[in-house]
Amino acid sequence: MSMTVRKELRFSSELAKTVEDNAKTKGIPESEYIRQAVEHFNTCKKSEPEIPTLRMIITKYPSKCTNPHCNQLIPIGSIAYWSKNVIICMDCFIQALGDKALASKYLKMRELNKIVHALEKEANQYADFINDIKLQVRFGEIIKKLDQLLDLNDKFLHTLDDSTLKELNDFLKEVKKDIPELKIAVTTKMQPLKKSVRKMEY
Amino acid sequence: MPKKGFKAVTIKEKLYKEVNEIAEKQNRSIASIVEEAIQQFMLSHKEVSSESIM
Repeated sequence: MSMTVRKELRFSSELAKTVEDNAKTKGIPESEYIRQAVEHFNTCKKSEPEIPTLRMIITKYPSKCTNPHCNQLIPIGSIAYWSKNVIICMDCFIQALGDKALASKYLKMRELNKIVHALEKEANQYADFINDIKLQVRFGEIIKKLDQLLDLNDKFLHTLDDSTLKELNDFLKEVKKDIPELKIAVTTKMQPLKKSVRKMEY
Repeated sequence: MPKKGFKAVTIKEKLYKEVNEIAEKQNRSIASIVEEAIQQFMLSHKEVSSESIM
């Protein structure tokens, strides 16, 4: 006489009641009802094609786009699409979407970003240019003052007059005020020497 | 003796092994697999019966 080994499954009373009722209506034992349900579950799962789904993530580590045509670096903190062993950058994702409106908006955004960067660069160049001009004007003023100083000095040497000496003194004080500004301007404009030049000097 | 609110149902070992295999593959408990299987089975049964009535 053969004996079948049996195992126990624990369900919530509610589900157990439903199983019991359904098995009764079908006129089969509960275990057979469960067997049919599992069989049905198995066949349903097998018929479902396994589609890998991508999840939107914000990258925690730097990685590279898995698309062999792209391969671009995805920096930390960027939005990307991830699945097991696959990471797709936003550019590739939008391209693959095929949604014309979305794709064109994304491209427009990229284009505008590039324009903004270019304009920022241009604005910085203009700002540098204006600063250079301001500096040139200031240098011109200081040179003019130095000329005036030399003239006054000559005048004093010829006349040896007290009033000219006082004038020269006052003017020297005024020129002295410009020296710190001149120092700052010169140090900021001085470019650090290249390594090769420094080596040659030593 | 099962816990209060739960009921034990006895099934053949072969079926138990089958369910266990699925549960391991999906990294879930046996009970949750059987629950889902029963729910799906009931749902499909309802659909079929409603279609047959129509």
